[in-house]
Amino acid sequence: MARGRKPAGELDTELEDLPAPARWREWMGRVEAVIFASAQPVLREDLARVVGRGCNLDLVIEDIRDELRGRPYEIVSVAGGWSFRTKLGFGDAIRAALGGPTRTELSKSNALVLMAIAYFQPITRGELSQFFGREVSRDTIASLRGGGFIAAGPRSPTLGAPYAYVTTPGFLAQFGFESLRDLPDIEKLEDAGLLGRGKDGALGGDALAAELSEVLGLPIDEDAPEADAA
Amino acid sequence: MLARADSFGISGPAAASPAPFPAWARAVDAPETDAEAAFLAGAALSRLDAIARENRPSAGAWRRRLALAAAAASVLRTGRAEDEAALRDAFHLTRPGANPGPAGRRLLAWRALTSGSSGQWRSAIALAAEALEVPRDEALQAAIETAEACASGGRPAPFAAAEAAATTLRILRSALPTLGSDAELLALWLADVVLAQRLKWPFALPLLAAHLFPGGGRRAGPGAAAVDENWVRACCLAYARAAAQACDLSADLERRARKLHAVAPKLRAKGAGAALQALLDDDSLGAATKIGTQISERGARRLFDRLVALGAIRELTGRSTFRLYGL
Repeated sequence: MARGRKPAGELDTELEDLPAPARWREWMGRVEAVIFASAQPVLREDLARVVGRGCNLDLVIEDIRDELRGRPYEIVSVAGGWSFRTKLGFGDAIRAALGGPTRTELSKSNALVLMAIAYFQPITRGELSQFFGREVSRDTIASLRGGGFIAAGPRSPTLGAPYAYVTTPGFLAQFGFESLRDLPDIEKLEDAGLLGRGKDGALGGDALAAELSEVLGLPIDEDAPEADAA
Repeated sequence: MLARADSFGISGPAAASPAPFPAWARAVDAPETDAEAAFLAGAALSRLDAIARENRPSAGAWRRRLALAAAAASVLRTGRAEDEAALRDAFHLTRPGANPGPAGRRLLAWRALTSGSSGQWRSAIALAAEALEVPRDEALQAAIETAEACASGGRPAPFAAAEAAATTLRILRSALPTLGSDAELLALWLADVVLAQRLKWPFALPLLAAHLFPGGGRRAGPGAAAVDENWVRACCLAYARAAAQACDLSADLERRARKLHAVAPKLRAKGAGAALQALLDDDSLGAATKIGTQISERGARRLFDRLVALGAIRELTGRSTFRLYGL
């Protein structure tokens, strides 16, 4: 939109010279453009900087979503912000054209470890190993950290003060969760009292793995974790 | 130079210990009517009112310990297993700026309530919302405005707080259904703000959350707090019990603060004054907690161990490493 020359860095957010409908369209355009241009989810505070003070961002986003209905992509709210995503049904087409996902690839076993961290954070590598009944290697943790899925949280008050791992906003964004509450079946685990660490600082008991696999249908006894790497 | 107790600059204990909480005001059995509950709440809160205004030497530790209890109750409501000890660990063993995990975040949210004077609660709720990863959008704004309206209204404090809790809970639940039991946390958080505002306390106290839910608050099934016709009575009863317990806790901490004050002249360590003040101001301290500029980590550990040996403070974890100390 051609606007009068303004010094760079000073954006006219109120747009008082425009009639209300045109002003709204301009705001919608700006918000959509900012979300489109950003690789990360865009936070509300950032969007608030390009629209007027009296502008309701939720309504703007709602109107943009309405316009995008029928398009193969949409605006989703993830990790406390908004982001563009292609719709689920087009995954096959994208893979056929561009090959596999170019972003951090998660092997099946790494994904399992990541989900265990997501549910039971903060959790140390030792506790993860105990949980899966096999050594969860430093490489696994390193690759999850490298992928930006997890970060070091509190240290565990045990020998060697190992870090307990927590998931990052990047994890939420990658999986399309808005918060940890969106993890599948988390309510079931909460109601079963399986989350968190108890008095002794350890996760709740030996039956945990069995119960988790029962509740979630997770294949805990995955024996050939590297088989799918090929 | 020998450091003397009076040169440490820590505030001295109250001259006489205040009267104990009267047994007749304790809500032992659940009252049968709203009026009975309101009477108990009024009696208990008027006792608490005196303590909340007095600014006792141990007031900081008192508020932080109430926050810890509230956080433990909130964490239990989310179905997690962390208790107060685990929350302390999450708080102390996380580097500044790092993510303390889901339970630790809830403790941060409750500590935010006690972080400033009660007039600064708007910046405190921003901290709490950030800790809980609650988007700062219209729903939160509407909840804050509801609390403001309740705080500036003319209703008696526990009723204003109950109304604030019920209304904000409804707003947050309908606008942010993914919030789950954190909507409850924020609603009870705001109710405590409203109570402090209505009673014109200098500091807000976390009270409601730890006592509102019977049986310690362990969530039974997927159900969450239901705002029904018994809501006001439940809130009044919770405030009655919370105020009684807060009075007891304050008396206990005051006793410990006096003991700490009594051994202060025996301490020769550099920076001991700052360490004693820090002990009076917080629930617990680790040796690695930054206390002033004069005392090193090793010095703090030696000082704390000496205070434990003198019976002035307690070691709170029972561990031989990663120890935490407090009144």
